[in-house]
Amino acid sequence: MAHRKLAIDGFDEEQQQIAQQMQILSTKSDHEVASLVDQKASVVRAAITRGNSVEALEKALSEPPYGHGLEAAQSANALLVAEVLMATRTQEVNNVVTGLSEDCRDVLLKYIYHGLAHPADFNCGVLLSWHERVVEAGGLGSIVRVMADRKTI
Amino acid sequence: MSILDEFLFPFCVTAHSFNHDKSQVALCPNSNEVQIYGRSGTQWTLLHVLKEHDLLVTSIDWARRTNRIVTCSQDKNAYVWTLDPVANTWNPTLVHLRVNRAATQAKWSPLENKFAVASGDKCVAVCYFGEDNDWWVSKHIKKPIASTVLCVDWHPNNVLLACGSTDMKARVFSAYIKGVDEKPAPSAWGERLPFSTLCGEFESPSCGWVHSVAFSPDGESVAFASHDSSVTVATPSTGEVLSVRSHYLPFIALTWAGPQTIVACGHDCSPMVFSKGGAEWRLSKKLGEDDKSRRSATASPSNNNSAFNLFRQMDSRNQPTKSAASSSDGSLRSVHQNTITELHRDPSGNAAEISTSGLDGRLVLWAVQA
Repeated sequence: MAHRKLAIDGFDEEQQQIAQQMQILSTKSDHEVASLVDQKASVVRAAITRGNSVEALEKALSEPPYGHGLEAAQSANALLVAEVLMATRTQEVNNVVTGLSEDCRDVLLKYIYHGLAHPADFNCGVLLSWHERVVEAGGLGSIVRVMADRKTI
Repeated sequence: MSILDEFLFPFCVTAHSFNHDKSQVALCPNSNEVQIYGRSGTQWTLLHVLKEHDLLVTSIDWARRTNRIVTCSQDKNAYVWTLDPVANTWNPTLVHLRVNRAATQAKWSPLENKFAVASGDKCVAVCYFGEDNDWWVSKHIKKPIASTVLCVDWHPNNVLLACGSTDMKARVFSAYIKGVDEKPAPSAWGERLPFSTLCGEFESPSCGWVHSVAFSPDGESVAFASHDSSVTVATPSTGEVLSVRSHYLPFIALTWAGPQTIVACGHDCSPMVFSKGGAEWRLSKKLGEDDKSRRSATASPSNNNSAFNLFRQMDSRNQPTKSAASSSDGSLRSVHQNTITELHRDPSGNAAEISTSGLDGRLVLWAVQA
């Protein structure tokens, strides 16, 4: 395809509209978002060492870096969430999930699916057990919301 | 006992509409025709077949007072059918919609002098009868709709129109037609509203195609069901937009069964009742699953199921799943066995009665108790 001079995907109107919508979502610049994720990381890790999984997870799931072109911050946040999920003891998983708000649960499920899509970087066994609990609490509707939402993490 | 009546047809029912006293029903059997059945006792007999569309009929609406039927189809056309009482036939009149894509839904206005047709052409066609030309004329509402309009609903004042679209938004427009409408009283949606004024634009929390939209009986709120499995209610006078995220698969039809009650149904095969308790909406009931003494549908297919399951159980590898949603013979516990396609209020005005049609061929009449 080297002889083709036009990148036809760049002309796709719908992709441009989606890109515009995502631009509107990111109210902060790339650097601000990256530093926000770093700040969250320190608070979250402190909470993990204290053994407070609920607080750690809520902090990691708060203010997800929605937006276009923020891959570095988004993958950093995803790894952070995965850290909390793996640090939580198996007996506590149920309590943590039921203690989350609906919003947080939906964001958590988005991260679980993100992790399952990258098995090289994430522990899928842990993610699957979390998935079971979250879907038990949120039903099929929460999975539909992960798939329907334009705001991708 | 929430089921009043249950009927089984040997085809998928993709659209239905009852006449004013529910003695007749117009159905689309997933094809390009509309079949009208009349009730005789507990059975329905085929009375008329309306064959004029070339492609799937997407929506049927039977105006209860003027006794006209509007049908619209994927063939970009809509017809208004009037009954000729002498010859006992339904005569079609083509509506000049001027859309270039399929029509998705058609609804008569409360006074039945206009109807709105939602289409894939990113517009809603509001049609009224032009006396001078003696045919149905359409006016388009286009801006700022960015994609296919899936559903429409009229406000009780006959002027405001809500529409839901695949650009993830539910909007309220004014469909005031000079010469046909009286000037509407000022409401929470605005005053002095020329045709095509945007009165409100709403979105659900996780976005998603808006499958169904409905005004409340007093017109103060609009509710819509979107593909992210949520039901959202917007009230402009208080400025609040309340969403209920459901645990079920997305709803594709919804209606109000009272000032604080909404019934929604869709891919999860049971109507769900949402009611407002205090400041928020909650799912209060799932209809049809707790009725142990329900009469089975006339011409029920359960005979087929039991033979099938007998042989299936003889296969030793089969482990019947103990899921809550299905009973031991493999059928779903809900009344409908497949997606519910349409949900309508009782045409005689009884707010607590609704009818549903589904892809399993069932037509069910429900009594909604909140």
